[in-house]
Order: sequence, then structure tokens, then C-alpha cells
Amino acid sequence: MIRSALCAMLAAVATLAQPVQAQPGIEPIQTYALTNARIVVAPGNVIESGTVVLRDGRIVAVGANVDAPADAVTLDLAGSTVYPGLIDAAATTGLPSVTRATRGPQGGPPGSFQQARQASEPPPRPPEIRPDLLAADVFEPQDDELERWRATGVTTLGLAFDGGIFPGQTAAVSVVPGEHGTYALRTPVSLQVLLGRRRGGYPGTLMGSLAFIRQAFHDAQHAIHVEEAFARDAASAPRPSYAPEHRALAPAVGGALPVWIHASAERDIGRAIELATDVGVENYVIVGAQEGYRSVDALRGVNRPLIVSLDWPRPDAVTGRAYEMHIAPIDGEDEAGAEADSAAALTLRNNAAALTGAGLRVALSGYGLDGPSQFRTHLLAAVEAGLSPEDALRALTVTPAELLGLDALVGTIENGKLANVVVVEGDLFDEDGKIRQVFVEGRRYEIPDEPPRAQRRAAAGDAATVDGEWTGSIEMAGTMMPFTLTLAEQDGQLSGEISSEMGATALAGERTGDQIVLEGTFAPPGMNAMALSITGQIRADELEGTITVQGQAPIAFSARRRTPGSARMMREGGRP
Amino acid sequence: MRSRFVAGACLLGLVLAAAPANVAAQDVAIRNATILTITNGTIENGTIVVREGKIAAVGADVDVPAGARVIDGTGMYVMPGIIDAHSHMAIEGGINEGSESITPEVVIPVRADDPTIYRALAGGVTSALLLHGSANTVGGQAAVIKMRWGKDSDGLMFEGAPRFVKFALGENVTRASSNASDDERRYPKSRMGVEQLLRDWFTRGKEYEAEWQAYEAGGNNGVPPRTNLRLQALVDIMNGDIKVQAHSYRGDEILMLMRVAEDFGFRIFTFQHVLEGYKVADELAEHGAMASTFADFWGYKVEAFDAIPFNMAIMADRGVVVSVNSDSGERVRRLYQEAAMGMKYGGMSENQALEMITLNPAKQIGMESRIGSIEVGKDADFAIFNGHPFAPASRVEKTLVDGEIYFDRDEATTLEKLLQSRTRTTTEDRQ
Repeated sequence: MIRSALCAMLAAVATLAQPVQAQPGIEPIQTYALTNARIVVAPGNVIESGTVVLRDGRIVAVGANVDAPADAVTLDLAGSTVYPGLIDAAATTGLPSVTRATRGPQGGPPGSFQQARQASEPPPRPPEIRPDLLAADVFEPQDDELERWRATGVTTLGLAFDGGIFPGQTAAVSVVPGEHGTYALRTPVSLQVLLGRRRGGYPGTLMGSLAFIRQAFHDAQHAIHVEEAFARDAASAPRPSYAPEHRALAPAVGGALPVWIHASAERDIGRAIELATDVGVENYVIVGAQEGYRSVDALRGVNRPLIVSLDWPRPDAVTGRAYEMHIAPIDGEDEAGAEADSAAALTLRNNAAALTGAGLRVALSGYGLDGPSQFRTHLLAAVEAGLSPEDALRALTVTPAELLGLDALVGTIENGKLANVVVVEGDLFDEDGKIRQVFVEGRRYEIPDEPPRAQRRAAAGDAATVDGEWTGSIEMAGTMMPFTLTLAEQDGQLSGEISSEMGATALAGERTGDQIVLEGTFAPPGMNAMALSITGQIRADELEGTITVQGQAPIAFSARRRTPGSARMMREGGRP
Repeated sequence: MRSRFVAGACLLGLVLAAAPANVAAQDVAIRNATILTITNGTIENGTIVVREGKIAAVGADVDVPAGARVIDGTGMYVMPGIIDAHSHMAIEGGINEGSESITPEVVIPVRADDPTIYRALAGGVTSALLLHGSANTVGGQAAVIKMRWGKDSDGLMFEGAPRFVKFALGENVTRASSNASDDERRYPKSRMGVEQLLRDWFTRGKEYEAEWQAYEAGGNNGVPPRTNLRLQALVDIMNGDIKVQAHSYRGDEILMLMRVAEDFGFRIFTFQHVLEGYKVADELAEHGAMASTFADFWGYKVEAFDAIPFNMAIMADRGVVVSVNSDSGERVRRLYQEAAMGMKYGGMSENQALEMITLNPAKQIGMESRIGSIEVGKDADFAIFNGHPFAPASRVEKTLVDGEIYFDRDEATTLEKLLQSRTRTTTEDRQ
């Protein structure tokens, strides 16, 4: 219905002499009048029936008594609600992964060609320590990623790297197709700091990264001193080094560039606050804050904004049950323990509500989730757990817009702002609410009904079969340990095992598209059982991902399929 | 049934975490117990009164104040809370910053939910020195904690404790990267390399200190030198502001390290493991170093081949302050049995053996004015046993830290109870 109206309008518009560039696959920017709609102008500010006019990628009129301009494509949205486009302030979409980055080629034995060649090249800079890397410069989204973000109502993304220590500087982009470099709304937005580890070098532990980060801020401060002295008296002052790391950190030391410090667990939140205080950074935001509800007093004490992740930790890790099971594993059902876990799960989901209720400035983010696919379900779960729809909306519009430095451009439906709006049939924060149309900078996207899960699987299907025997190696304590991963799939459910010199561990999990998630219990001889989880991405016969043993930092791995399809053949009895 | 039980265990953790710290407001009295004071002999049928976390009175003729919470000590032995001078429990995110060999700028981050803390309490342990691992010649700075299970990591920190740093010598340091490819192996790979590395870095530390002194005297164009947290830590070590806990085995390397320290104007505070300490006991005493060793854990690697069970007694006899440590989440539960071996091998007195897990480790963590003996004014940290701590069948019934009960066998989820509940379930299942 809307589509046919649109086609008619397109024909009409084509006769007007508008300088519309018709790129293939991208709808031209039109003038739209969204009429008879319920309009959520901003959190707590609702027009029950009104019109929004979008022209040249901006909002040019909004109100109860606004007339649709004559040249506008008028969309009658009776029964629908128009919301400001949502903002995820910290998404990893389209950025190179730091946690899954493979280390450069190992140097060969002394005297070998390989070593000689490497020696002649500057050593590669570790991806964990690249404070000068701008997310906007390396943003390369797949088209369907942006499409999936739009389907969740997200029109602006903050871009943040997925790990490391100083992985780079964040940016803000519009969720529209664009050539390299044309997405950015703002860059840099902030300097990212994580209490991560570097693989294959200093700092390789939490204590190491805490010291390293302190030292880095001292160094940047020192570089500023040197540059100032040099500016005063170049003849006798020491020469500045202009090292990229120092130049990247200098604006953060001065407070001009906000620092985003990632901290999920209660104790890491404490460390993040202490770190910021120690290095004299006042303009900072805490990202993650999954256990923020346990740190309310400390967070109120510093009163810094939070980008709260919807990627909740495992409840048993928070209740301590994982540890209890570690001490005294039991067989059979543990009903009371599971009950404690489910209570903790609710508490974790209620985290954003607890923090908002404490008067803290909260932006919500899917940081840590698997892209946009889980964003809305987790958002709805947070609302169900107690976050008011109004607070949720603020945390996805006004507050992230401020934290991205874009409050003049996005976050509300006001004149002059980018034409970023979401048309919802029903309520955005209700499971039955259906996102029907999304406008990003004036471009209109219809959101198709989500295909059933089974169909999605079939579509993603054969491009990413996981059946088979995969071989690879992981780095443990400085050595490479080979392993074999045997997997079989039935209707998206995976089973199999991973085996190495440390024994075999049964695994179960699932595949979504080319992503796999597996879990098992790792019980090497003479040691206590530990939870083991594997995430990975399949690319034909290559599998890349991370292996995490309970209490340890994730270890990146890559594996190759040895006998494609053999497991399936076995299961189906097709093997001779 | 058993599932309820395990759930109870984790709920206990939550309850402890949530319990307000108001117990200390009430006086506590342990009555009618055998009190092993360490510094003033054994008191039969004695009473200890605790007020605001400190020992207010101790003796045979002490009255129990009105309103005090009374712990009946009939048949019980009360000793000072046991102190572990070498532990790697409750450390988050790795114990070895093994990427480089000199890393004194890193500081142990404590995680408060490590159940080893609770196990240690079940073994009467109330304080511990959490050390960096032994992969590095100069490792990271330590944390001194009290076993306030349920508190957060700040709540565990032993307030007023000195700063310590871990040094390490010998095999662990030189083989730290032995599995790495040739061009990635870390220096040093030999004992002579360890000594040279120490001398190189402390020399750099001296230069760094001089650089700052020059700046403070008005030099360097008013531009402060680059702050170097690593070199600053080395300067702090040389100035005695950070005390050294040195992992060591062989006599020759112990002598080497004492000479290096003396050359750079500082002292080794405590040698850890120090299994050949008996060979250099006089030199240790002369240097002023203390020793924290194993009771009978030896022969497990080449540099431990010359260890003997008499090590503790011989060093103590030559005037070295000796403690016995756990270095393990398992041995930490039975340090009292480890200490008892000092009586078997080398004929230590009972009190001397007890000192090895109380007053002596208290000295080695720099807190002997607060803990290590049962004296008026000291912290009310106690291990209450159902028999003499050295009797093989004795076990800890209650452990108090700052006058609060943090372990109580009556309420604890013990393996015994767990097994009972399992047997019951099995029987029910069969019926």
C-alpha cells in the first residue's frame, strides 16, 4: 500500500528538477511528510497526532498543526508512532576485531630468510595499543550489517573497538550506505581505554595493563611539557618526539577528548574510577558497567555518564555459583541454585534501571552483543525487568547523542536535526511493536517483517556449514598447542568436542548464520573443572574465533576444516 | 536435598557479603580456653576480651564484660590468626606479568570472591601476603590482605601494610620463555644473566633518580623528566620504601642477591622458599634477611634437590626469622601441620614452631605490631581449634578477623556434611 503510493510519488518527483543522485540500491533523498502520526518528539514530549516534515535530510517541521508541503511524499501514519532514530553509542560493527586479530607471522629461526626479512621491516604495532587509530578511518561495514541495525530502529552508531588496551579513537556514523569516509558524523569522539591484555608482549596481565595505562598518560603529559617548553625556547629545550601514541593521548590529558574506560565487573568499575583519578582525567565515561548496580555509590560519587551494555554477564558468575560448582561439583538438577541464578539474571537485566533510578546519566548500548541481532530482544528484556520506556528512550536518544557530541544533530525530532526517525506500529518498547519504516538522514527504508528463524537459518545455511573436523592451534603460555575440533550440526544446534594434549571436552552450542557459539566443561587431569566457551566465525573452510576458559582471558584461534562434511556423512550413515 | 545444600553454600556467600559490619560494635569474649599467646606463654582456662576489633584483655583472671557475645572455649585452643607469608590466592587477571623480566611497576589486583580465601579461613589463616609469580627477575608489587571474606577488594586490604615487591632467581626466571621461539626468548636465560640484569636496571634506577634530583635543583630547562613508573619503583626499592620478597632456592644465588642489594644500598627483607638457606644461614642473619620456606616440599626440581627438612630449624638456630608458607591454595588450609614439622626435624620448641606461622610471618609482612600474637592492643585475629593445633586430628572450629567470626564450622558447608547429604540422597534414590 505504502509502496504503491511511493511508486506513484516517485514518478511525480522524477519530473521535478531536483538534484537527486540516483545511486543504485540507495533511495534518493525525498521530501516526506509523515502525517496523522503519534510523535515522540523527545522522551516525555509526545504529540498525539501531528506531522513531521523531512526535507534534504533534515527535519524541517514538526507539530500538531503542520501542513504537508505540496512537494512532499505524504505518508499517512495513522495508528503508528514516530520516534527519534535510536543511537547505540558503542557498537563494534564494521571495525576490525582487536580480540580476534591474529598475531603477525612468527619470526623464523635465527639466520633464516624469514627472520632476516622480518628484521628489515619495522615490527608491526600491536592492535591492542593503537591509540592513534581512528575508528572512522577503518570502518568498513557489510551492507547487511547496516540493514540489520536499521531494522532495530538504530540510525546512528558510536563506533568502538572490541578489545585491547588503547585500541583507538571512537567515532559516530550514520547508518546509511556510503563510500569510505563518508559515514562519519564526528571523529574522533573519544579515546578508548580497556583493562585488556596484549597478546605476545607487555602488558600481558590485568596488573600490567593498569600500570601500562598509567605510564601512557604520564608519557602524554610529559610530551605536552616538552612541546610547551620547545614552543617557548626551541634553541635550548628538548626536542619533542611527536610519537603517535603521545599525540593521540594528549587531548585526552587536557580534557578536550573524552576518555571512554571500559569496565564491566564491580571491581573493574572501581579500578576504572581509581585510574581516571590517578591520571587526572576528569572527562570520562564508563562503558559496559554491567555490574553498575553494585557500584551505585561509587558511581554517584564521581557522577560520570555511563554507556551501559545490554550484554549481561552469566548470572552464575555474578552469584558465585560458578565458583561453588568449581569447589563441589554436583550431578543432577540444582533447583535452588538455578533459582538464585534466575534472580541474579533479573537483577542484571534491571541494571540500567537501577543506575537510571540512582540519578546517573545512562546511555544504553549493545556493546559485546553479537551485532544488532540481539539488540532489541535485550532492550525489551531490560524494559521488562524494570527500565521505564521513557528512560529507555532517553538512554537510546538524548543521552548517547550528548555523549557522542551530536546533540545538535540527533536524538530528538526537532527542526534542524537530521531526518532520523523510526515509524513503529504499536509501541517501540513492546514485543508486539513492529518497526515498519526507518529514515536515516532523510533516506527512507521499509523494514520487512522478520523472516522466521528457520528460514533465516536456511538462507544463511549452506554458505556456512560447520560440520566436520577442524584443526588449529592456540597459544598457551607462549607455546602453540594444537587442537582438533569436531562438530556436527542438526537444525542449528551443534554438538561435538575439542581435544588436545590437555584432554577432550564435549561441546554443545548453536550456529546463527556464520557465527557459532559453543560451551563445555574443561576438566584437565588433576585440575578442577572449568567452564569453557568458544565463539567463532565460519568462512568456508576457515574458522576464526576465541576460546575462553573460566577465569582466563580469551585466547584467539584459527582452524581449518580437515574433512569437510565427514561428520554429516557419518551421522547420516553415508560413510562406507 | 544436596542441591539445596550447595545452593545454601552460595547463599551463605551472599549473606556474608551483605552482612553489615556491626558485629565489632559488640564486645566479644572467648572464655575458658587454652590460649597460645606466642609472646607470653600458654594460658590455661583463659579469657580473651575483644573490643572494637582489638584485644582488650587476655588472661586467666579476666572478667567477661556485660553484654559481650561469649564464645565458649571449653576444650578449645585459641592461637593468633595464622599468617601466610607467600600466597597467590585472590589475584585477578594473571599472577605473572611474564612478558618482561623487570616489572616492579605492576601491582597485584585483588579479587575478593576467590573461594581460596574461605578455605584459608577454614585453616585458621587470617592474613596473607599476595605475591606476584616467580617468572620475573623483578616482578610486581604485592598486596597484604586480611581474610575478610565477603568484603570487597578494598575491604580485604590490610590497612597500613608496607609495600613489597617480588624478586625471583634461578630456574623459573631463566626458563620463563623456554617454550618460545628462539628469537622471542626473553633475557636472561642464565643465573649470570639474572645478576647482570639486576645490576643494569638498578644502575638505570640510580640514573633516573639523579635526573630528577637535577631537575628539582633547577635543571633541565624547567621540563620535568619523563615519569617512569618502572624506574621509580626501582628507586623506591633502593630507598627501602618497597621491601623485597625474593624467591630463591640455591645458596649461591642467595649470596649473589644479597651482594647486589648491598652494592646498591638496600637489603633483602625476606627470602622466599630459600630451600638452601641452611647453607647460608649466617650470611642471611648478617644481612638481616628473614626467610619464609616450605616445611617438606622439596626435590621437585633440580634447584630444590639439596633441600633438607632441617632447613627451618637450622636457619632459626642461626638467628634468622623463619616462617613456613603455603605458596598454594591447598597447603594454606593446613599451615599448622606444616609448622609442626619444625619440632620433628631439628627439635624446635612448640612455641618456636608456632612462631613460624604467627609472629614471624607477621614480621615478614611488616605487621608485627598489629598481629602475630595474643596481646592487649593487637588485632583480634584468632584461630580456634578443637585441640592443640599440632595434634594430627585437630581442626579449626572458628576463625575470627578483627573480632568478627568469618569461619564457623557449625555453619560451614563442609565436605563432611556434603557427603552426608549425598549418602542420604543415594539411599532415598534406592528406596
